[in-house]
Amino acid sequence: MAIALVGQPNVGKSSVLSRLTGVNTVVSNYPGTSLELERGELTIEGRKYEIIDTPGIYSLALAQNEETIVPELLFDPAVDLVIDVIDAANLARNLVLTLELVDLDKPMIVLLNQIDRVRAGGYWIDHQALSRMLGCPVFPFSALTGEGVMEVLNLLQASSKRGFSRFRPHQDIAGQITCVVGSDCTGKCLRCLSQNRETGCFDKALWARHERARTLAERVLIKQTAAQVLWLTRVEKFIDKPWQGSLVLLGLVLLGFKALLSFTGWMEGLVANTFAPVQEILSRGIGMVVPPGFWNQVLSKGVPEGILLPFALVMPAMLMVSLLMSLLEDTGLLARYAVVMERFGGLFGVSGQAVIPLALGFGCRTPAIVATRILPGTGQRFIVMTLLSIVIPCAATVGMITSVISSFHAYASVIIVTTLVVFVVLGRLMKSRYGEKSELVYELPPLRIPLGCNLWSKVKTRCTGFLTEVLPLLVIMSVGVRIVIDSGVLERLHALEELTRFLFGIPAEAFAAVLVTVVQRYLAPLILLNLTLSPREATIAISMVALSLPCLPVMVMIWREAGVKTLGKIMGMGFLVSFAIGILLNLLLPC
Amino acid sequence: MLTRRNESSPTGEVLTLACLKTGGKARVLDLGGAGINRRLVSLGIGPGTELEVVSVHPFRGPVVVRVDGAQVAIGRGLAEKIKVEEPV
Ligand SMILES: Nc1nc2c(ncn2[C@@H]2O[C@H](COP(=O)(O)OP(=O)(O)OP(=O)(O)O)[C@@H](O)[C@H]2O)c(=O)[nH]1
Ligand SMILES: [Mg+2]
Repeated sequence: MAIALVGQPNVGKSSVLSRLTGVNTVVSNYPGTSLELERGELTIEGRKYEIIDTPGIYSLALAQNEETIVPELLFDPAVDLVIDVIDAANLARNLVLTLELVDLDKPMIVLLNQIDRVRAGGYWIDHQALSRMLGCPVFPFSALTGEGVMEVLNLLQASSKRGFSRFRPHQDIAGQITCVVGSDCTGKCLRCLSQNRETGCFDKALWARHERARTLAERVLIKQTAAQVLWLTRVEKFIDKPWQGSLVLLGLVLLGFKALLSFTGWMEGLVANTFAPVQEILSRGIGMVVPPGFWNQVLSKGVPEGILLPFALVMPAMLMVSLLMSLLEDTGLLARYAVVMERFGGLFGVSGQAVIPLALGFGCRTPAIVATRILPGTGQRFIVMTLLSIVIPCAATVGMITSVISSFHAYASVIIVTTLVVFVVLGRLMKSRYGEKSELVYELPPLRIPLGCNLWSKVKTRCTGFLTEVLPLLVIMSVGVRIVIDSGVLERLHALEELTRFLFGIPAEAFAAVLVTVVQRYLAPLILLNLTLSPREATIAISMVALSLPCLPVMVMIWREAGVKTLGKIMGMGFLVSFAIGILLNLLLPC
Repeated sequence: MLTRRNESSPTGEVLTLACLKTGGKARVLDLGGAGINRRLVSLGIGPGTELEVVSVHPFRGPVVVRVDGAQVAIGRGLAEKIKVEEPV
């Protein structure tokens, strides 16, 4: 039996899925978290239920591009039941979608989710009256407290024998929106989608549904007590004042960077101390097992390096960045940055919403590429994908780069300034070609207290992903790099030495590290750390590595999301930027 | 209730969402432009909707309004097109 969870963005569909099935889905406090279907399974008395979480949509009739997977799923006869998840604290607007769903004539139940917030606001919803009007079961629900879960499970269990009854909405609700244009229009304007979307009928029907939802909401919403003034509401009021809010947000960014730097510094020492013996043992152990010779040399150095480097360099930054990012996502602050940054976005031809994928990119760029879907327009998506791929350093990159910087005493400030300049210049250049004018229309989530378990599960997901996917690869590649270094292939590159010195001011081996980013970005630091470089050379080489191609998973994701042509363009630009940076820094930096 | 003098005023003295101050309340008369309408409409902003301005960001930044329980940020250019009247 298949059940679809449908609702407007950020109402808590994914949280409901986790509550009901225990499956680990991404839950964040901003609209547009889930962008794909996600499935969970539930077994009641031996009967299996497949529950499908969907991306949030405001209206079925207005679904565009990727959003159309929701109406498609609903029209699929395999879906037996629709669970409409409503943000009860915003009843009127949420009921618009409910009314559309009513018109679909499918078995449905309605969850008044976030009922805890409604109560805190001093309201109560007469769910029985609402149930009579809609003609389907309505449950007060809270994915946060677990209220209503038993009722829903009981209903599923009871209906598993009889099957779900079709519901009969009150005559006031269904099919009442009359058509003003064409005679063959049903007036519901959900099924006549395939016809002309541009008719006045469509817009009228849309707004009529809103007004209907509003009257319905007014009838069932009952003021009970005075609203509790939560301290969170006070914080929200404070942050939402433009000046002080911007200052607070800026302060938080600085605080975040400070936390990141001190944490990585502290961890690096710790990891180095605890891992030095491990490395020693590993390299001795391998040295004893493998017969002396070339392979002994290669393995006893390459394997420990491949394991130690990621732990010492990447893990600390990754832990901290993913924690900070999760905090921004779950409190609702991330969406507030989108508003504050809107004016700057205009400089690059993107809207304020671009802040969300760009900021996510600091954690990991792969999900950030998917998150560009929330942007209006393909031009904007292309700009943001390019900036993400070439400029934004992800947590792993930051970790790698900082360690290379410190081991060669490279000029960190030069690298930071270069990154900023590239961001601005690339953004401006792309704006003139791909920029689209679009106005921000974006729903701000309420501020919430982040849940510890949710933060923990996000950090854990990211770190296990790294350990299982990237770490083994790095060990293998680290051995590969050792082979290359020990076999003396790099020395053959000396033919190029004159050219690379002239153009970029770096030795040929360092240039090889830049080129190797095509295969795997994380390899570059492994090579660099094995060379002897002056601070100036290191600065140029690191900048060239940092501002070039993204890692393989990101490239695959771009291919999937935007096609191979876009990927080609972005890769081309990546090399161009990288080489241009090398040449410019070589000219500008004093020897 | 105010009349629709704003719309017909030849001096162009139209009250728009962008004119309102923080804390100001208004009722929407008319949304500008067709395509964008639907994005606003899907967030519950259409003719007759009552809004409260939560904040107006400086340097032509967005206007944040409260519609029922939700807050919606609207770019300044668009806010300038949304005609409103102040409810009595
Ligand atoms: N207070 C309260 N918060 C909730 C409840 N359910 C969900 N939330 C919070 O609401 C936010 C959004 O939850 P999600 O489950 O990501 O919402 P979604 O509907 O899947 O959102 P999209 O995928 O963006 O459409 C998160 O911060 C949740 O912690 C609830 O019942 N009560
Ligand atoms: Mg979701």
